[in-house]
Amino acid sequence: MKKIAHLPVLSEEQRDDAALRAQDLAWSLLAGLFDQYAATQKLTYEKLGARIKRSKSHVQRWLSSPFNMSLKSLGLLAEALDAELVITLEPRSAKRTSCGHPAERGAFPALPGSDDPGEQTLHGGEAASAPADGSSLQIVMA
Amino acid sequence: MRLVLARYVKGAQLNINRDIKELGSKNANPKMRGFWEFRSHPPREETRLFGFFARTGAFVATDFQPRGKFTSQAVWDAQRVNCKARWDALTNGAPFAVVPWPVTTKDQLNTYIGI
Repeated sequence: MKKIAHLPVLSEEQRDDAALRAQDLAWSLLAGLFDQYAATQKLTYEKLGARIKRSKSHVQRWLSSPFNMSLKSLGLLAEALDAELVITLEPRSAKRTSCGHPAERGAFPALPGSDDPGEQTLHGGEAASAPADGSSLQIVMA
Repeated sequence: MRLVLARYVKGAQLNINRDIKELGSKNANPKMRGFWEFRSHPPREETRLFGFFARTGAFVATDFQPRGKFTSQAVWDAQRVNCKARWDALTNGAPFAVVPWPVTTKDQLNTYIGI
């Protein structure tokens, strides 16, 4: 097992990416759940904001970009969506074996309308399919 | 854009019309059918990665442009023509995926991205 103290110093770009990945992960789940409720329950930014005493424009700004996400907004929006926030953090080395796109693991057939039999790998590859991190975050509907 | 593509490659959450969009679906425009964009988000310069799905989970990128370039429908139409020409050159004119269409729900999106 690698000793953390012996790992190389992160570059500025790597540090930026690390922070942005966390924001992007949180944002993608919140925006996805909001969109789901918008479609099924006609939820709006205004109605969501009313639950947490925030304006429509405030909620819209939070959900418009990953870069507006903070731990505070994550917690507030998860609560407003009546969702349970679950965070897990796993050592990266334990998860770096095989993480190809689900469609590249043979689990899905070719699309209708396409002549491709679904055997040729057109994207991904070993480098692109490696996960960038081993951490995860879930927002679970209560 | 890297963040969005990382989620796509890992099979993580992708939000229809926020992260990825089928450009013919909003107004059911058949001229744009099967033409897709991945979208990056502000405050950095917004960008678009254009392309087509060869099949489930197999997105083939054909161009990458700043969002600000697209100031009229004519520019969008020209982008589609250019990307289709590049697709044809890459695939020798093979068909790209166009079903289901229009793409307006998460389930329909998942048919393309393979989640």
